[in-house]
Amino acid sequence: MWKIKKYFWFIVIAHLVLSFSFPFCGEAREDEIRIGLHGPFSGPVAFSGELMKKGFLLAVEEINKAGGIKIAGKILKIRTFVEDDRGVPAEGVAVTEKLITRDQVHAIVGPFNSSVGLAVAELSDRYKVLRLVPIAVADAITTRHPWVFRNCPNQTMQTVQNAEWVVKQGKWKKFALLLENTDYGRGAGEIWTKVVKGKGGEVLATEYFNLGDTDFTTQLTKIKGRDPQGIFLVGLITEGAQVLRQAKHLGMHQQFIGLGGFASDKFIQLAGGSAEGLINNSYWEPNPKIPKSVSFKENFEKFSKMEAEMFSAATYDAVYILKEAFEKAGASGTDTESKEALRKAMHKVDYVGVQGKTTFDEEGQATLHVHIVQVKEGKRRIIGP
Amino acid sequence: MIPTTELAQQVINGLVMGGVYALIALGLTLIFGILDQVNFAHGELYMIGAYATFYFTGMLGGVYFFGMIFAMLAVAFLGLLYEWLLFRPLRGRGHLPAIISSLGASIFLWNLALQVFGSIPHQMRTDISEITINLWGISITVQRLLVLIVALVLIIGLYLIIMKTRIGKAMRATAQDPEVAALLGININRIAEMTFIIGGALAAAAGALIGPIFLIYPAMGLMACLKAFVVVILGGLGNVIGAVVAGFGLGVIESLGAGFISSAYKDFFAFLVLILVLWVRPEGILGKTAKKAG
Repeated sequence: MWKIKKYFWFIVIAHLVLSFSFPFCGEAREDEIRIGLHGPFSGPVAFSGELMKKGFLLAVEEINKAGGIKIAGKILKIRTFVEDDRGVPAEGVAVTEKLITRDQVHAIVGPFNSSVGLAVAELSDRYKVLRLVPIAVADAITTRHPWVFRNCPNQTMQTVQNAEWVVKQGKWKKFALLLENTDYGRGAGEIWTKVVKGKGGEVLATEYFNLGDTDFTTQLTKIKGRDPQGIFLVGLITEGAQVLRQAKHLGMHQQFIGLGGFASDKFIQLAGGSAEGLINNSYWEPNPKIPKSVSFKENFEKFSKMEAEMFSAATYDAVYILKEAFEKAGASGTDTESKEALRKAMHKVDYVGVQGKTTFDEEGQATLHVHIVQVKEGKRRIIGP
Repeated sequence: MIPTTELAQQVINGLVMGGVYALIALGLTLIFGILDQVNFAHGELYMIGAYATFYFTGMLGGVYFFGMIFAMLAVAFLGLLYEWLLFRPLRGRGHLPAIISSLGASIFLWNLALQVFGSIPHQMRTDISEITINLWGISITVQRLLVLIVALVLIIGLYLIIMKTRIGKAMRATAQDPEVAALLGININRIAEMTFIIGGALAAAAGALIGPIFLIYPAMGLMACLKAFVVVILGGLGNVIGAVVAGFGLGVIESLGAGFISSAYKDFFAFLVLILVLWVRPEGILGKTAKKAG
């Protein structure tokens, strides 16, 4: 009995030591391109994080199957390093350090959350390792950081485009705002109000809710009392779905105009019938005018058994954008010269992917347009640009 | 000038939330008043009550009422497990060990729920959850009306159990002085089991009632438990009537504060009231009568 116990502990310790040391032994080889990805793969936004990860892995699989990345006459395969940042800024910093110093990645894709993006942007400049952000929207992630690029519209672009479209319709003049009480929600509210007021619209009420709130009847009752024509709603899936449901319960018939995580089938399902008629931003929808977007939808759903939507689409495109940048740079080293060549090549990227044409401005921000979609018969349909 | 319909609507919104706060807080305050222990895992009884209602309703042919009864029974048993596993082994060793064990249970249970049920919220619809009644410009769904009615029925039922039955008498005696009660032949362990069974069933009822209105997700018990603590302290620790008054009061204050001052500070009002009461009446609104009623 005693001996077994002794062996048992020996085995446990040996396992721990081995499992901790092996993944870090991955020696940096010359004949491969190492790309890191991090995002919230556990925690409250794990579902959206999973979509992001699957989009990334599908792109890598396709590129490797087709040969790899052609650099200076050689064809190199992509090797992936995937880390979970749980949506926490400190975790994001830790996994970024790990990806850069231990795994010696050539480039990093991610993150999902704006708060994480703001925390890790600094590291890209310090280590001179390229980062391409597919989802996090806060403007400041790219503006002051030459090594950080983003291939989705940033917060200002999304909010301004939404507000301008709304005003142009001329159907609504009086609005109320219902915002997530975070930098994201408050920031969007400010920009949106400025655009709408500048074009002659009226804002009758600005209300807030906290992440994790469940009862929104108080805010909705107040808004109902002001009798606006349209309600601008900013938030994520869980809160947003309950807002729409409770508004219906209160007998409200105002037009909801959304910004945030509402562009998925899961949202429509959670909101029950109450999502019908919702107008929302989406920076990716399968669009017959963009042939790649239609085939991506098919391939992604076969690959992941999940719905293809904007998070997976943007992350998928991010890998192909990096591929083009590597091929344009013609360098695959981890020395400063190769890294600088890669960064410069990003500005020359002119890639047509599932999101349409992507080019980057001098701040590393992709010039992209959002779609305005509306839920009709339980499906999103593109109704704006 | 505040329009009367908006005022009335906000008061009703507040009363519905207040009913839920009161149901959760009642179990907490009973456990505190009778057993002198703090249960930090109480919000998880509420959360599991909501999930249990969701699954039982599905299994029992979609009849929401049966789902709710079975959920209350199942969570009452979970309450009994709390007493057996978390509290009884630590009884008589002061407050701290039980606080830590229940805090551990809370973290364990909501992470377990995250693994078992997933992070995607569950949406529950019943026949009555989508029907809205409109009266004098006030809108309320039948489900919300049901929250108020069932909460009131359960509160009156609990009051009758405590005041009119033998076991209720024994519970009151234990609350006054557990040692003398034990000397007089009251089995303290039975009383403790009964208290947790009642607390579990009430929390499950709250979860069952709120499930079809909100979404059901693993972390839903955390904020609910915090609010219930505010209610328990406001009403006077261990005071049953105090918890009911404070529960409804808190619901209405939150609703009016957010509705007529600013919704950015909704939770701020709850804790502001708590601080003010602790300052002016540290024993709670009905603190003096604590032991008599509890």
